[in-house]
Amino acid sequence: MNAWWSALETAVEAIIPLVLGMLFLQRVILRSRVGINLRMLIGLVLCVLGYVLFLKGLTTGLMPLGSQVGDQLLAAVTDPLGHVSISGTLIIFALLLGYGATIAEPALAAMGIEVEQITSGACRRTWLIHTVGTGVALGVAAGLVMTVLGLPLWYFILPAYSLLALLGYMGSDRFNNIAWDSAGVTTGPITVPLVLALGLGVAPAPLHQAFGILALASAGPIFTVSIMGALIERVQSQGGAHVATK
Amino acid sequence: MKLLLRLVSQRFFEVLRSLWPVVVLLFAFQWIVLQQAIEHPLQILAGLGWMVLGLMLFLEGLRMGLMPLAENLGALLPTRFRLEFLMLIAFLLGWGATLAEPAIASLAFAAPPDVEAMPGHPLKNNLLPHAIGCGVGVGLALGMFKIYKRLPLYRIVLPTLVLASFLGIASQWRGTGYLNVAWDAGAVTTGPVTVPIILALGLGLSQVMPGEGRSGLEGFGLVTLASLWPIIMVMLLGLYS
Repeated sequence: MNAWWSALETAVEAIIPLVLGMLFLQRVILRSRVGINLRMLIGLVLCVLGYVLFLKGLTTGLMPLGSQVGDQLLAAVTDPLGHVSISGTLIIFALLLGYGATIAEPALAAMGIEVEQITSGACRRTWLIHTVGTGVALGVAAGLVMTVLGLPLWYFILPAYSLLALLGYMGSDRFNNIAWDSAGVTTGPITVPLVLALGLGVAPAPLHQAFGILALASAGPIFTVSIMGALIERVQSQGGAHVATK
Repeated sequence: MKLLLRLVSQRFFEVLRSLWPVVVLLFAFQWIVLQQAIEHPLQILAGLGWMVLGLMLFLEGLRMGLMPLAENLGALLPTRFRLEFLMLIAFLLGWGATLAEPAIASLAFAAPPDVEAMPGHPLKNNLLPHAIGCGVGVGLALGMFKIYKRLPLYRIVLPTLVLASFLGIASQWRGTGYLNVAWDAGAVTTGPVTVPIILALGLGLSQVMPGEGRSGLEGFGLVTLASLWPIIMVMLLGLYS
């Protein structure tokens, strides 16, 4: 019962200030009449209720599952002498996990439709979804390798973002926007706790090393989408030149 | 009520669709590849059930309760106020929206069980959610600036990355232990509460901007800035605590 109360408290503390702030802006600063009605109140109650249930499920379902699998994974790649080595199984698991967690994300589907419109069909929505999925897969794999071996995140982040800065410099503004934003939409309320729990499971001490997988999982899609964007623009400009010479 | 039922059933499948691949993968991997039993399978399944139910209610509640407010604010604010005030409001909204993000709560639960024995662990710092929220706020305010001045994304992202690298080097050198959590924070922030609010503000501002036709890119770029600045803020928190 106590756990429920504290979850309710967390939910109310998280949601109500935002709602009050928005209502204040709406009524006092903008003097707009739009505001409190029954539909909205029902919505807020659903929000709080949903948040409580989500927290409950998070702490009893998804996170224990993630950290159990992480623990076993670490045990499977550690030999009896305590040496850790990277196996193909680990890599394949990480790739599948990153891919599977991403391609069904509703936010990504919505972005795919938008991108198809912006590029007037040059980038199909399924291309974006699978390219982002591949990026997250590569990122999670790199992240798990890093965590299992206890490497500093810095070794990965610095080269990765230097490369991304270079790609951004060479790329067009259109695909820069798409590529960099695709990193944000991938990591939703299911992927984040799952990957965090998995990281805690696979990480040998010291435990702040358990973090950093998500960081690489966000860098991955920026990389893959930038490359896809460059390819698409190349094909487009060649196609344009082809038409022009005709 | 009929409408509610229909929406809830749609949400239900939406959430279920994004959850089942990873759950099947985890169970299959544990049983078939690692050949290990899963402890407390029933409790875990029940928990996953709660999670689906909770997320479904939460998403539907957001759509009914919060999004009309966000859309109205996004459409009205830019018509009434100057850029400076707009940036201030964007900052506050970004902050508030982040604290309401379910993934932020999961960060607190990701604390390892023996975190109490580790002084100075970032997850013990009560300011961590606020540093992340503050970062989203700064990113969003800069995003408003970007839209207003019609800057290409790269012009803002590059200095941000340079700053993040310097702070990263400083964090690594001082050994704050915040580096990994900081870079993860960027991924944690942008979820179902923040993204619609960000997009509503971005779209609202770009709609009142004079000028030639839409490129369709108006809503883009803000999410990027809102996920890069938390990294910087959390590293700063680490350096100053």
